[in-house]
Amino acid sequence: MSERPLNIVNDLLDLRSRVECHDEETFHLRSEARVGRPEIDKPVGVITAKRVFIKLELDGYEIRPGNRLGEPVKPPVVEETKTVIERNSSASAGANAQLAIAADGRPKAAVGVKGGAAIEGKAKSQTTSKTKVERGYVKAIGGDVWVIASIEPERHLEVATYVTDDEVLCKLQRSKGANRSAVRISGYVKKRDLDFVPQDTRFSLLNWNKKQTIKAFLAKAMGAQAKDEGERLVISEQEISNE
Amino acid sequence: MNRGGPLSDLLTADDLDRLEAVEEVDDDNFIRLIERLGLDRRVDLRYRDFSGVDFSDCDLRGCDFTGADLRGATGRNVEWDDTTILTAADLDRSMFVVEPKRPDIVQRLPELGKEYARIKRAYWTDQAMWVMDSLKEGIKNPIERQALAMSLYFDATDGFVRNTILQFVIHGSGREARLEFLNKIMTNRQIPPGTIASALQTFGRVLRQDDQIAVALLGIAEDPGTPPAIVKEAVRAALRNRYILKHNRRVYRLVRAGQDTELENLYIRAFAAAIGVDHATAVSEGRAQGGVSFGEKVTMERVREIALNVWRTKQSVEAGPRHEWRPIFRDIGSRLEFEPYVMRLLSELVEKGLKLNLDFAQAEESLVPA
Repeated sequence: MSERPLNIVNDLLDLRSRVECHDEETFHLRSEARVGRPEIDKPVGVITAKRVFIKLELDGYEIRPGNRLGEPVKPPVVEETKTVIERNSSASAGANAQLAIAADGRPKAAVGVKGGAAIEGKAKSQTTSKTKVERGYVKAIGGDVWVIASIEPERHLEVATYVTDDEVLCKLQRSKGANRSAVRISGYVKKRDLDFVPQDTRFSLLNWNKKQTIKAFLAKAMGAQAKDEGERLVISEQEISNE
Repeated sequence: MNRGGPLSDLLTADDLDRLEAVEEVDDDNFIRLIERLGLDRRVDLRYRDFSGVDFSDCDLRGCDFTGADLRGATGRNVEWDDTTILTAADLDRSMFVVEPKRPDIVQRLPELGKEYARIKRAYWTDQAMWVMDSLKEGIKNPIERQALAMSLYFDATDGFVRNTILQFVIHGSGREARLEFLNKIMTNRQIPPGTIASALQTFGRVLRQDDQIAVALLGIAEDPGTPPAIVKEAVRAALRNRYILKHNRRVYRLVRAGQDTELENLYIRAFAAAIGVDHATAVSEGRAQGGVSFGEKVTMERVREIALNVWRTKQSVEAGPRHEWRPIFRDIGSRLEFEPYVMRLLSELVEKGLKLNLDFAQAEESLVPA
């Protein structure tokens, strides 16, 4: 059922996927995504990526709703409001009506007095809210795309396996009336997300212009082999079909 | 058909030659670098990250920067026109400056008014330009040109003319000539310290990036015959050099001997910036040099000063284009978070071999944010 993946720069992204038949109607798409840091010797350094994207194109399949890995479901904010109202009688209001201290610390004139009777009401409210957010490396975004990014913003991805075969990337079901089904999985990086990190400290401390132009050059060198789609470089492709 | 592989397999022999050539070349002009790398300005600059690039003296006509990251890019005398494409490029915090050229000033002079100061300025500009032209066109032999420039520099009475000659030497001569010039200026006892400070300012980027200049400045500062005011200028300039931690012991000794708060703060800033730039390098350099050894205990007050200096460095770095260099500063939003962070960083450095004599017990107690 599966065809071999083509990983153009496999030391930057090695993406392998398979479709597993779970039952008559459900298929599990499992992927392994290993992100690395390719090395170059002159100047000595490594190529890193801030983000890597995995994109699915489905033919004859549909993703079962609610079954994507890393779906960033916005959790509801649990808010508790506590209101305390204090009421005083007119007699005690008369005694207390000389001066009150407002919440901001400034003295304020006393309560209104009408016909010798006054009622003072104070309302205090306290609101607390709780939100629990899980932050993972893999996040499902629109357009059947997953983004692998470091938890810290703008940080480069470490060498690691971010998607493993143990987890289901998404569950698929056959589209009605389809007699052919295929999944096309591609992995891409954005050119702006690529960086060259010199390992020779002499180089890294000097030559910012060189570093930036070398990055542009390496993206071009990759683009010569990979599919260059404007801002994206498609560096991994695999099609799994079931005729 | 290519079946994929590691990046090293994708790079051709020609690619590797180009990379090596760029690494070796002593030139950071953006256009010349992309030409060396064989990048096509009409196609290969799109959607790339050129943040923080210095485009000085570049002709960017015909460059297509569609979707490129140009945040914090800078440049003096950059040429562009409507063929320079900046569609969807991010130009946040970029800054470009045009410096007037001589004919421009001459043409505009009548319109500028007759204020004495401006005329004087224009006069000196003219003088300086004349000197520049004479040096460039009249004297072809670089050694003679250097000697003449040096004589003119010492004879000139106006600071602007001096600095113009100096700029000519800095940007128009080789490294050795620059060093010789610097040495002559620093050791000439007729030149007042203020003029030397101005000259060192003029060295600008060269001063920051050339390791040899740091060595020369330290040598001048260590010379017992050098007057204290010049020692201070030399150390101050050396502390702006990016390689200064390589000479830790020497510069530290000078800073300690100077007993000057400004120099001390500059030293700490340089030290902290180096930690931020490359933590591992700071540690290994420190170790290689036998450790950074503070003579006294660093008290809570000192740690606060260090924290404040590092914090200022962080802010200046964030204001500048190259904030990516200092990933350790991320996610720190206030000074209250920052002080304990610096404390931890310093103690980590101590463990790794830098001999900072810190008064930790006292510091830890007082560092807990209120």
